[in-house]
Amino acid sequence: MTVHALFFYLFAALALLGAVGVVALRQPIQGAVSLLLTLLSVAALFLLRGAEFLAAAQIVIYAGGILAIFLFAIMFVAYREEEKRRRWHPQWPAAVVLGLGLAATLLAFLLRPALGVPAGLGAAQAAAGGNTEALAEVLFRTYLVPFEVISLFLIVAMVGGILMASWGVKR
Amino acid sequence: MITATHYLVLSACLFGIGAVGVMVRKNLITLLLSIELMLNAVNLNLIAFSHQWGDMLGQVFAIFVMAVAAGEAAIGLGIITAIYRNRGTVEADQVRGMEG
Amino acid sequence: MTVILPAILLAAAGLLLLLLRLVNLKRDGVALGVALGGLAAAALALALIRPPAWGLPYFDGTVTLDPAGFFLQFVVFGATALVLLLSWDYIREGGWGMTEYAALLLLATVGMVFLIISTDFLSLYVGLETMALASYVLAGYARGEGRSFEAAMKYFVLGAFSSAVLLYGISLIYGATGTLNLIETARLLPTPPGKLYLAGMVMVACGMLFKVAAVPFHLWTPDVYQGAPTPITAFFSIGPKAAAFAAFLRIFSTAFGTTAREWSILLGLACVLTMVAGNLMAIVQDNVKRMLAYSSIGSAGFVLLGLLAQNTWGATGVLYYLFAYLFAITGAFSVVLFLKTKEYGGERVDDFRGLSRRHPWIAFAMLVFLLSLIGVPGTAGFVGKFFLFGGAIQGGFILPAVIGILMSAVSAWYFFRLVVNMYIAPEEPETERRGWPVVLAVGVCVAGTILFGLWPMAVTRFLLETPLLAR
Repeated sequence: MTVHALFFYLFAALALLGAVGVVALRQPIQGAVSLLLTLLSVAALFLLRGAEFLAAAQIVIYAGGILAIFLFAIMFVAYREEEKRRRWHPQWPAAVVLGLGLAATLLAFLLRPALGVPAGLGAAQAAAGGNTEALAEVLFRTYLVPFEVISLFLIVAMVGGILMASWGVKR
Repeated sequence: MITATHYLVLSACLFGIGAVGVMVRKNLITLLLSIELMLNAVNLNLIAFSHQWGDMLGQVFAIFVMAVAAGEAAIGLGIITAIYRNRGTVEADQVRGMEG
Repeated sequence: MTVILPAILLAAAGLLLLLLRLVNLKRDGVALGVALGGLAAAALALALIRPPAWGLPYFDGTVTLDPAGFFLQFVVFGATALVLLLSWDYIREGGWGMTEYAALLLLATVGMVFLIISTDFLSLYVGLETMALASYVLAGYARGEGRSFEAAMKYFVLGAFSSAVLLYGISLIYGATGTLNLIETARLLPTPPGKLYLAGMVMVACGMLFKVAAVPFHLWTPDVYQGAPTPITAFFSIGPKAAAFAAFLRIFSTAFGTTAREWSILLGLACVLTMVAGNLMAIVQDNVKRMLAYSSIGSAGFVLLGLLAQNTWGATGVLYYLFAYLFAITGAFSVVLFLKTKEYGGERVDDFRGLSRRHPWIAFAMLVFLLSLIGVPGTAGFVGKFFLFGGAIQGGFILPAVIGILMSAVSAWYFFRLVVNMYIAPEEPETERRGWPVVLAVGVCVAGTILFGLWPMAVTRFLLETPLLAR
C-alpha cells in the first residue's frame, strides 16, 4: 500500500466517523465539533487530489467561517431540552432504510463506472503556473458572470440575516 | 492505486449519512449540519472528477458550492433563531406545521 | 454585455434600494417607485435587445439569449411587478418596510433571470440559489405570524436538501462528460449512457421535480403556500416556478435530449402522478390558499406534459401556459388579498359568499381567473393547455394527455365551489375594500387573461416560428 493510499483510507475513515457523529450525537454542539472532524478530513482529501487552494478554502471558509456561525447560533439558542426528549423523528427506521437504500443505490451505480486513467491536473496547472493560477484562469474567464451573481447571492444572505436577526421578538 | 471510484464511494456514504440526518433528526441545527455533510460529499465528487478529467471546472464549482453553503448557513440559522425567539424551541416536532 | 443588461439593471435597482435604506430614506412610495422603475427599465432593455441571431453563446457559453429565455424573462418581470403591487397594502399594514422587501424581490428576480438564460450548470446553479435564498427570507416576512416562520423553515430545509440532491446529480454528470456546459453535455454524452450519467440524471430530475413542486416531492408546497404572506405565495406560484421550468426544459431537452428514452419514463410517471394527486387533493381543501397550492401542484403536472412531448408544440405549450398562468394565479391571489379583512380573512372558501353582490367586478374577475385555470376556451389558459395536450398527443403520450384532460375537468369541480359561493350563496360577511394597487393588479390580470385568450396569435406566432431553445 502506498503512502497516498494510506492517507486516503485514514482521512476517509475520519471523515465518515465525523459524519456519523453529526447524525448520532445528542447535542448540536457535539455535532458541530464532529462536523469539524469531517471538514478537516475532507480538506486533507482535497490536498491528496491536488486541490491545494480548495483545501485552504475548506479550512478557512468552512471550518473557520461556517462552523463559527453554527457555534454562535448554538450559543444563542442554548437549551437543555433535548436531554429529556426523544432525539429521533418517530419515523426514523423508515428514514434510515431510505437513506441506506439511497447510499446503496448510489454505490451500485458508482462502483464500476467506466472511468479511464485519471488525466491528473499536471498539464492544466503547469500551463497556468500552479493550482491557484489555473483556478483563477477558469474562475475569472469562463465563469465571470456566475462570479458576479454569487456576490449578489452573498448580499441577499447578508441582508436576510440582518433582517431575520430582528424578527421573532415576542411582543 | 486510489482512483476516482474510491472518492465516489466515500462521497456516496457521506451523502447517504447526511440524507439520513436530515430525515431522522428533529433538532433544526443538527438538520442544518447534516445538509453541510451532503454539500461536502458533492465537493469531494467535484474534486475527484476534476483530477480525473484534468481540468479545473470541478474545483471552480466547488468554490461556488462553498460560497452557497456559507449563505445558506447564515439564512438557515437566522430562521432558526427567529423561530427560537418566537416559540422557545428548535425541535422540529414542537414547531407546528413541520411534522411532515 | 447586452444579454445580461436587464439583469444588471435589476441588480442595480435592488442595490439602490439597499443604499436608500442605508441613508435612512425609507419611504414606502419611493421604494415601490424605484422597484417598478427598475423592472420597467429591465423589460425595456430586454425588448430593445436585438441579438444578431437567437441562441448565440455569450461569456464563454455560460449564458445565451434564445426565444424561450427572451419570453420567460418577460413573464418573471411581470410576476415581480404584479407581486410588488399586491404587496403594497400588506407590507404597509404590517409596518414591515417596503425597501428591503422590494430589494429582496428584485434580487430574487436577478437569480430567476440567470436560471432562465444560463446554458451552463454552474451559472444555472448560482442563479437558482440566489432566487431560493431570497425566497426563504420572503417566506418568513409576515413576522407577526408564527406560521410564516414555519413556512420559511420548511421551505428552507427542503429547498437546501433538494439543492444538495440536484448538485450531487450535476457532479455525477460532470464526471460522466467532463463538461458543465449544457450544450456541450449533449455532445459529449457517452452512448449508450453509462451508469454514472444515469445516476446523475435521476438525481438532477429529483432535484428539479422538488423545485417545481411535482409529486412525489410536493409535500412542502401546501404548508409553505399557506404560511407565507399572501403576496409571496402568489410570487412562489409563478415566478420561481416559471424560472425553474425554464431550467428544467433546458437541462432535459438540450443537455439530456439524446437520452429522452431513458428519462421520459421517469418524468412521465411524475407528470401523471402530479396531475392526479394535485387536483384530487384540491377537492377537499377549505382554505383557498391551500386549494390554490394543490391546484398549482396539478398545474406543474400539466407543464411537465409539454416537457415530456419533446416537440415544438410541447415547448410552446410550456411557455404559453406559464404566461397564461402568470395572469390567472396572480389574479386569483389578488382577489384573496382584496378580501382580506382580519388576519386570515379571505382565505376560507366561505369568505367568498355573496361576493358578486358586494363587488360584482371583483367577482367577475375571479370567475375569469378560475375559468383560465380550468382551461375554458376564450381564456389564455385554454391556449396554453391546447398546445400542451396537442404536443403530448403528437409526441405519442396519449394516455398522459387524456389523464390531463380528465384532471382539468376535476379542477372545474373544485373551483365551481368558489363560483357557487360568489354568485349563489346568500350570506354577506363584511369585507374591507383594499387600496388601488391590488385593484390595478386584478385589472391587469383580467385584461391579460382575456386578451391573450382571444388573440393568442400575437405571441404564438413568435414562439412557433423560431427554434425555442439554443442547441
